[in-house]
Amino acid sequence: MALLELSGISLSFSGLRALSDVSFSVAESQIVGLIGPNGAGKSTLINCVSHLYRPERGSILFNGQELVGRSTPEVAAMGIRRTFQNLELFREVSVRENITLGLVYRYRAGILSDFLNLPSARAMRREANAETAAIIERLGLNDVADVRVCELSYGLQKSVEMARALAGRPKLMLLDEPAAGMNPEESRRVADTVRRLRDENGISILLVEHDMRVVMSACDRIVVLDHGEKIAEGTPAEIRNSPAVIKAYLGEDDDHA
Amino acid sequence: MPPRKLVIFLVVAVLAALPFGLGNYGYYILASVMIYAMVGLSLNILIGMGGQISIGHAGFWALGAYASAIVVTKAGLPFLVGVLAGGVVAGLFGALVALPALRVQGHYLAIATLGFALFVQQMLFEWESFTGGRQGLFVPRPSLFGTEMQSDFGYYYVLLAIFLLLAWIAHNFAKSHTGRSLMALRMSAVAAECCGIPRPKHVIIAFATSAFFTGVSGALFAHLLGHLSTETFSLAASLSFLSMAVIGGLHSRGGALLGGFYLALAPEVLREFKDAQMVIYGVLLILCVQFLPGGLISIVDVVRSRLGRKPLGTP
Ligand SMILES: Nc1ncnc2c1ncn2[C@@H]1O[C@H](COP(=O)(O)OP(=O)(O)O)[C@@H](O)[C@H]1O
Ligand SMILES: [Mg+2]
Repeated sequence: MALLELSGISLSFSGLRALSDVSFSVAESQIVGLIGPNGAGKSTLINCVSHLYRPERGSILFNGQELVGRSTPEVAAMGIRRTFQNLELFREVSVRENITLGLVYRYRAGILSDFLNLPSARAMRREANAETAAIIERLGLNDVADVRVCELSYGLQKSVEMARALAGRPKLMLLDEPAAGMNPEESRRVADTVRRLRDENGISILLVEHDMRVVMSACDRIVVLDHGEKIAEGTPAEIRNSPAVIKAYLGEDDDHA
Repeated sequence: MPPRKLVIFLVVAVLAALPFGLGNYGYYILASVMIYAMVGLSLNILIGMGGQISIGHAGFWALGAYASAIVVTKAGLPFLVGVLAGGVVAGLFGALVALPALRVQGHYLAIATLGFALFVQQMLFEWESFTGGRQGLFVPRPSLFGTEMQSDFGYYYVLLAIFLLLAWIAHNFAKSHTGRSLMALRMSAVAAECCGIPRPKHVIIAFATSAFFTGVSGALFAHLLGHLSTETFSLAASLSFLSMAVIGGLHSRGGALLGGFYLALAPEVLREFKDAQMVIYGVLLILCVQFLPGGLISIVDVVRSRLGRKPLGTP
């Protein structure tokens, strides 16, 4: 059974069809690339899965459970985490606090314990801090752990967002253009990280990316969207040679893919 | 002693020494400082941490005041039970007021909270059998362990103790996971929800906690005044609370305390100006927002950062 199964997802914005009848699935421990020209509906699709948008039609099964109709935090708590194309960080606070906020929902004492700083609240904070420290260590963010996020470079901010998503111990990660704005060296590192997430943590990944080297090297399968419709799906080799894909990309002149 | 603890110790020592050398009127003013500072703490939580807005806090203040007065006079329960009841009743209404806050923000939320305060004021006015309506309601002096406190001198210390207790709770909340989740929602609701932090629950907690603090303050105020009438709990009171919180500083316990001093002392200082007072308040508020957006407490922060310390407002 697939971990994530999308069938017949459709959504329009005041008449504009952003997604029409999109179906595909992501298997356990699989990296699926989602590509397509600008405006194809990739981010919209990710927003549907993480439930910032509610699709008008279709179903999203995760581990066999229907996601449509749930709230965003519920979906996150079920094990789906994401990053954002244009970064959504808690900018005024430290890297450490950002990561803690990614896992804090799992460490909840009662509200009364929080008000009175009872031992259970303190124990929860200790555990959350320890787990945060481990993630910081593992992702090599030690040097910037106590720096406010807004003071970091764009590339580092992207890593922090990835770390925060990872802190949720997800089964599925949705990455929206993690290598955007990076140089080739940094992009290679992103591709590396994505593969490591899968290899070491068994996380399935839905990867939206414009950088074809990253997509081709990291993904097991690729889904191609154009104007909200799925126009192709297959292995990287199949996609590279698909006439439909080549046409979609060549038809767009403002696209840098 | 670590510097933070030392600062707190010194502040408490100064607060404890303040009444000496003053007369009855001075005690009364100092008691009001504490009562307002509690409202300051409540707005710290709602606005500073939660990013919500309310121009209806006089409504919670009134609910706390009347609930305590009624519990003490009609049910004959002790003063402290009345104060707790005042907090709880206001807190429950706070949870109710949070419901529109889940749907609307900004101006609309401000209007909804204003509507709530006007509703409370009118309800208290109409419900004569309980609240005395037009005549108002007499409230007994505070009493502890069976003895009535005749002087505001003693009462001031009770208020100081309760303020410190509430400040401690507010401090715990600010460093707790619940409090930090609330702040995360303020910084980016989208990011926080994608981290599994539900907005409705936290907005309700913010409103209920803030209303509880304000209700406790209102209850204590009732016993200080000795007589309640609904005019006290007008829109003007809500607006003074808001400007006090902004002028003191919305992000720290120290800011709430300075706000309390501001609101209790400004009318004394500005009494000469009669009708021009409201204009002066307005100008002070605008100046503060323009030139001191962190409030009076940020002056302390500036001094501290010159000395190389972390600002007080950081959890
Ligand atoms: N919130 C929204 N409101 C209106 N239109 C939107 C919204 N989000 C996306 N769109 C539109 O949907 C289409 C797909 O956008 P998007 O999913 O961001 O594309 P991609 O990520 O593939 O570049 C675009 O035409 C975009 O303008
Ligand atoms: Mg996009």
